[in-house]
Amino acid sequence: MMEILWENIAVLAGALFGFLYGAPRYLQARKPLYASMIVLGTGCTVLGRLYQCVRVLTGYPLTGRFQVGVLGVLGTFAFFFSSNYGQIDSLVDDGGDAFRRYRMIAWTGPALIAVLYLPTAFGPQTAAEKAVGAIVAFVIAAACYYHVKHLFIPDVDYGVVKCLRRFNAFAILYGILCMLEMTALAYQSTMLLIATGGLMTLVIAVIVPVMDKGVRAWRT
Amino acid sequence: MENLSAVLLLCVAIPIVPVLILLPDRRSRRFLGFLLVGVGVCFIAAEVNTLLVRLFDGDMMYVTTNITPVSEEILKALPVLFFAWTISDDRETLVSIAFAIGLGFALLENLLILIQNIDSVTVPWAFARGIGAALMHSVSTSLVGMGVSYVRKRRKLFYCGTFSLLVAAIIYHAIFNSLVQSQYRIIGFVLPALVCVPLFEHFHREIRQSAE
Repeated sequence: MMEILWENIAVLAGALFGFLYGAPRYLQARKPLYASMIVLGTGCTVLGRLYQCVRVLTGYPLTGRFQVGVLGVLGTFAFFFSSNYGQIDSLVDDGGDAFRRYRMIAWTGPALIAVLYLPTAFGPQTAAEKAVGAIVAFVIAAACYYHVKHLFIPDVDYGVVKCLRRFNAFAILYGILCMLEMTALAYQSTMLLIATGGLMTLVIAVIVPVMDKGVRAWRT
Repeated sequence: MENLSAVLLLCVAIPIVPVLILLPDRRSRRFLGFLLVGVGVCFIAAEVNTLLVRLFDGDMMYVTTNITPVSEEILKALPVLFFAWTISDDRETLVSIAFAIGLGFALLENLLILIQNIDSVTVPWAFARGIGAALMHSVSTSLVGMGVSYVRKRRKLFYCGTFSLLVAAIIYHAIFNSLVQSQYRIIGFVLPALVCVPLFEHFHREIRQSAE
């Protein structure tokens, strides 16, 4: 229980750093909506982790049944998906045959997430937990489709995606770590939980500053 | 007593209806009208929650910290969504009606909790509950209102954005419910005020900037 609490506190601290870095810069009028959505996504991680800390502190486990904290991961990746799908993707892909190759490459993102879900699918948890895990994996996979696509697609017209490649790489890494954390919780592997928690803290802390660097490079 | 929530609903709603008809100002009428909608939504939520508690074998703590935040936030979001879809998707109006729905919801919910715990309620309880629950419900519904404002302008952002903000509102609601039922209840009652101040400061700054 204690390692789960400390892991959540660490990720909460990392996400809070990212959110507090981005909020004054992007959560205001006339700022790029793309960046605002990434910051709000980090805010969802803050809320989700805060809930999980409260749940553990009040003596309830994070595993065994559905708990609202998993919605934090869902919210984060729904914002990431929404920012790429709603804001950026139409600027770099007109749906023509020229970009078909990159759309195919993009499927490696969801495929990787699906593979990472397999240990959970065949793990010892209840059917309800596996179903919640599948929903979380689906949303992460949907976001990763665009993150992978924007990592490789040539950005000939606007140069937007080129500046955000590093951010997209970090977002994919964060998705992979979320899936590994799910596995660690399913198999109650303390070592894997500590390792993923440490890396998640670092990635979620730097994801907004990295995105900010990309957005500033694109706007100048 | 049977149909207690229906009795309380009528006690709150009946005095509001004539005022709603007599008020000359359209904005005030709309705010009061949606406050009444919030009261109605709370009545429906109370019935839904009774079914949910039964479904989860009477595990009240689990249901109130994990399930009712989901059902209540969805129920509160529906009138906002309907308004945005059919009448106006103006952001300022949507946030104001969402706030009214949250306030109306908290009003009836506080009364229901008061009646259920009539022997143990105190003045500090009323004060904390009045501020904490009202702000929590209002802030969480306003969050959804902000996302819903994209309903007609940017369809791609509307679906995912509203879902994400709904998720944020659900978690915020669940944190509040968990804290107020634990030994950290003071933090639970202070939390909504802490969240409300920067959120509304941000919203008013946005309105000022767009007016300029």
